[in-house]
Amino acid sequence: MKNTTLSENAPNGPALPPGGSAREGAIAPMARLGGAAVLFVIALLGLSVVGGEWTAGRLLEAWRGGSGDPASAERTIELWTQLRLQRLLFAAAIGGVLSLAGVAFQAVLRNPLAEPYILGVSGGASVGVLSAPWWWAVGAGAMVPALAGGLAALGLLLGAARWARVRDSASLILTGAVLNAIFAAWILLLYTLLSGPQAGGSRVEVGLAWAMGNLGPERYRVLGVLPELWLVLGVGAVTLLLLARPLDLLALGEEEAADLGIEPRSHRWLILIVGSLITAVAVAAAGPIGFVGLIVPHAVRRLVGVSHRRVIPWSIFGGALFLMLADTFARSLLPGRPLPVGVVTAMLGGPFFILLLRRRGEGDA
Amino acid sequence: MSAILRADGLHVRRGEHTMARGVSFDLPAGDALAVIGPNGSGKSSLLLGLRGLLPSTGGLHLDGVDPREVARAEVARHVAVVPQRNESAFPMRVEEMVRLGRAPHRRPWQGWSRADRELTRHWLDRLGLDPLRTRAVDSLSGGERRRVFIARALVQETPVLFLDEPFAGLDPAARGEILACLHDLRADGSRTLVLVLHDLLPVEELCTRVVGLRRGEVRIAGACGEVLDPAALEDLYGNPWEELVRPGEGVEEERRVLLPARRDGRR
Repeated sequence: MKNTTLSENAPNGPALPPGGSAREGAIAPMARLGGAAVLFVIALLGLSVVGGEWTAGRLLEAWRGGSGDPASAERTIELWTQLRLQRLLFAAAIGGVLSLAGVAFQAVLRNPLAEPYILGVSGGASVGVLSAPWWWAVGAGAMVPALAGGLAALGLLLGAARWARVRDSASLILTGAVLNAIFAAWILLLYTLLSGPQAGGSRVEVGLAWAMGNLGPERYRVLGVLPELWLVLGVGAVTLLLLARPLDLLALGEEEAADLGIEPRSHRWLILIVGSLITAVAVAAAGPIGFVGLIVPHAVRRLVGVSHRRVIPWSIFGGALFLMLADTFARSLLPGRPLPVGVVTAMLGGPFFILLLRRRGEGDA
Repeated sequence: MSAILRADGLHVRRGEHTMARGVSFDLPAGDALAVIGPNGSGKSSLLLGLRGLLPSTGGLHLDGVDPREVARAEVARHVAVVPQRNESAFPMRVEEMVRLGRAPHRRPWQGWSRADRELTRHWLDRLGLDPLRTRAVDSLSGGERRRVFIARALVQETPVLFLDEPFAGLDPAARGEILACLHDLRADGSRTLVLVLHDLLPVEELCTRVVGLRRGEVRIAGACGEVLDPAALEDLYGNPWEELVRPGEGVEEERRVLLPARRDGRR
């Protein structure tokens, strides 16, 4: 995936657009086949790598009936399905949601750099979650304050942009970055309050792990958010797929969208709200994981073109793959010390953002 | 006579400013109207007002509907717009861009029909864009790009076409390209055109009627041959104009040309 995103078009060179070689119909079967192959490899990696160690052999052995002790074989299989598979599915759902949200924001704000994490929507949802003291007790209940925080952040972003008379989308990104910094300060403040004498240290630890973006078992098992997540991903994906053409039109600009028959404002709001809601749910479940919605949609557009009918399903799929891989990497890098996946995506995504910025400057992004 | 586009004392506002004041005209179907005037005179705002994208008061009638009172999709089935520039956020291919002209005829969630694809191919072919159809729109030359948006407007199959400065920013070759394209459209006669034009050369060639705005006020309105003369243009643009007559040769008719005059009166 990475290689394709980095391939350069010569400035005046072959005028095929990024993804222009993706002739409709011609690339689709190839892409599907390739996608399935990549999914298989990543799933295999995710299921079999533990702490940097390749453990597929042990599972195979367990499947065959194990080396003598049937109880241990059963335990191995249980461990795999209960832990590894669930975690993988969790990563896939979160990755799909985040990537989808990126697609929505980029089309509506007409900037390939727009992403809920960069714009502060994830930060707002985090503040919402941490402000609600019941957040880890109820699990899925954390979604309510997250939704409130995410929507408030969207309102603040657009309100601040309007008040400051921000007209171009680059300045909007900047506004979002500043908002993000404010939310980061709030998060630190809330931690300081949480770590007071009456609060248990473990809460802070759990909170801290969450705030770095985490797919660890304490998230998907304890909170039991998996069904809700699939529901949200499903509803969000269907809504945005139904709005694929308005997304295409809004990417042309408000006036052109209106001239081609949609009400730009109401569609814009609807899409931004749906994008913020699905982001907030992902944040409630796994903490703020950044840059998935930046990297994946960009790569997808290069591969399948810019029509949202293709970009949306491929981005969900690509986001799922990306986060599954990133999480496998995160928990294998340091044996015995799984890293929060948000650390990995940010380390990859930050430089990627700068790269996209440079290419925009060259008129190619 | 039934006018396909009629404005009756139309005031167009942008925020607190009135951009066009008391504009009235009747445009019969198949005609072409030029909207002219100096920079900032409200030409483009008038075009926005005429399709209901800026608030306005006064009578407005576009192919049987008032664009201020119906949904955008309905308006987009009556009038198509060729924008002055396009700043698409993502590099879209020519064919995809042109096909978007079918959007007002489909529900947002519906796919393109075979008829949509065929119509797109038809206009790509007629405007000579077929070899470019898989190219990115932003990789094209100015004239090619303008043709893409003309094709998109034609694919939209509306009786009325608005063109906002179709010659702006084009070199002479591209101007010729677009002029030929618009001549074809005029000859075809099935569409009514409204063109915002920055200079006068194409006005008399392409248009039957003209509206001249200066600071939102109508200074010129009527049939081109009747109302365009040096005095009217001086009133509109504020500089002296003169009329030259080019003698006809052979079968060519005599042509008159209006040009800005030099201050010393010589050419």
